Amino acid sequence: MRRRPSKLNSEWTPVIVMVIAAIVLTVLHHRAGRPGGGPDASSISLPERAARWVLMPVQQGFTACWGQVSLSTSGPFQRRKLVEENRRLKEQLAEADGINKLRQYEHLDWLAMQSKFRGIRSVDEMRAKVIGRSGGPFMRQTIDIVAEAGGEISRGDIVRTARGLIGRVTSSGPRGARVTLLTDQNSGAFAVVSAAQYSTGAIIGPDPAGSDPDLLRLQKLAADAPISVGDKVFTSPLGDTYREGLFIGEIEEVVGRRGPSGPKTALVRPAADFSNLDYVIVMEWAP
Amino acid sequence: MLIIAHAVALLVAVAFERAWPPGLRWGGVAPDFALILIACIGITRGPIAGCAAGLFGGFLAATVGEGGFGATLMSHMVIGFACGHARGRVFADHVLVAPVIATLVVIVAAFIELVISPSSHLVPWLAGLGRSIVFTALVSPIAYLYARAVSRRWPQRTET
Repeated sequence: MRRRPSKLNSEWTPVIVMVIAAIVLTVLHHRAGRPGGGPDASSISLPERAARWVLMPVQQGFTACWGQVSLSTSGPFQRRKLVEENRRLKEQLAEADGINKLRQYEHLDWLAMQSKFRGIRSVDEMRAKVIGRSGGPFMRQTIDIVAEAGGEISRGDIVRTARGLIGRVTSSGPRGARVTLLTDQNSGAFAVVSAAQYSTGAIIGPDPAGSDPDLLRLQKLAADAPISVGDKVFTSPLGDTYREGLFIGEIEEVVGRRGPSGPKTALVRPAADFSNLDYVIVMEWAP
Repeated sequence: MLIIAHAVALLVAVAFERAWPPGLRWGGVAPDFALILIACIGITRGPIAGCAAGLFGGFLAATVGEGGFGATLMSHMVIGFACGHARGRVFADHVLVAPVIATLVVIVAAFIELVISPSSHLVPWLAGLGRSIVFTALVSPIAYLYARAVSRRWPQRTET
């Protein structure tokens, strides 16, 4: 067999080595992501864990810097605005407390009506800071979080704000965790509409045809489900992904159905503000 | 030293992109610092350095990013390698070449990723791609000036 010229070899050998390295990294990634894969089921491979171990503190530093820059530049000029914002937030907090209490009653009422009642159990919750967000052209919607006060976040934990559900932890590492939001195109959750005789459906990512990326699609509702605009949507006990009874949002529009007996679809406005996530609440969850 | 400088720059670029504040995003999209940096490293150092930068930067971007892991890795390596081959064929000493390169590399990388891991929502994806192109083109001179400065600080001994 004849050998190629050495110059060509020297040019292509490093490229071939790098391609092999890329393939190995990809295989490791997919092996770790398999159900049951990975040493601690965190769904990330060892090289990725190492990369995140380095990246997360840098990301955290940048997030803190941006916060400081934002504060220092807005201070002198926007004092009045901040005072007004503070007043408004206090009002919202008081209102939210009232709403939360109301929801707890609604939740108890709803649970009592479930035939598959599983009972209420206390859950461990912790606060976490958002240190990164997705930003590419792909419709993947994720955030990176770190637990405050040394808490440990595990894969599968539920993440919400005081207003409502936002998603679940899809991978966790030594210095933070990745949360896939409800607005992610691959996200999904079983849901019930409380005012419509607890009609069940499925939240399947954002509305692909809509201009508002924060609106969620609620599909697979029964054709005769008596849903209407303003109805509240909660997580359902049918799925194991989320704990039942978590508030998702309210129906903003009933889109219609395919054919006279086809399932209904609705658009849901999430209660949580996905564009303004600074701190979140992580609920421990093991179905 | 050069390798460390580029590795640190890529790490900072990926972390910076991910930590880009919501108030400065355009429809949720942040500029792709890592991709344009890889392209600039390729243009100033050649195909092998570009490919290596693509491997490292692509790996970091895939670790924290949203697209498919293999697709992100491959697209970044292809961009680095291709830009390295364009070295000497473009006006590599002019800073205004950076926005043009940024436009091209974002489109090429997005289409590679689209082919390998297709998006089910094409219209929002196209809108996001448009925003990413403009945003990345705007910040591209910074990455270009960095890569050129490093290249002049540590010039290559032999041409590849």
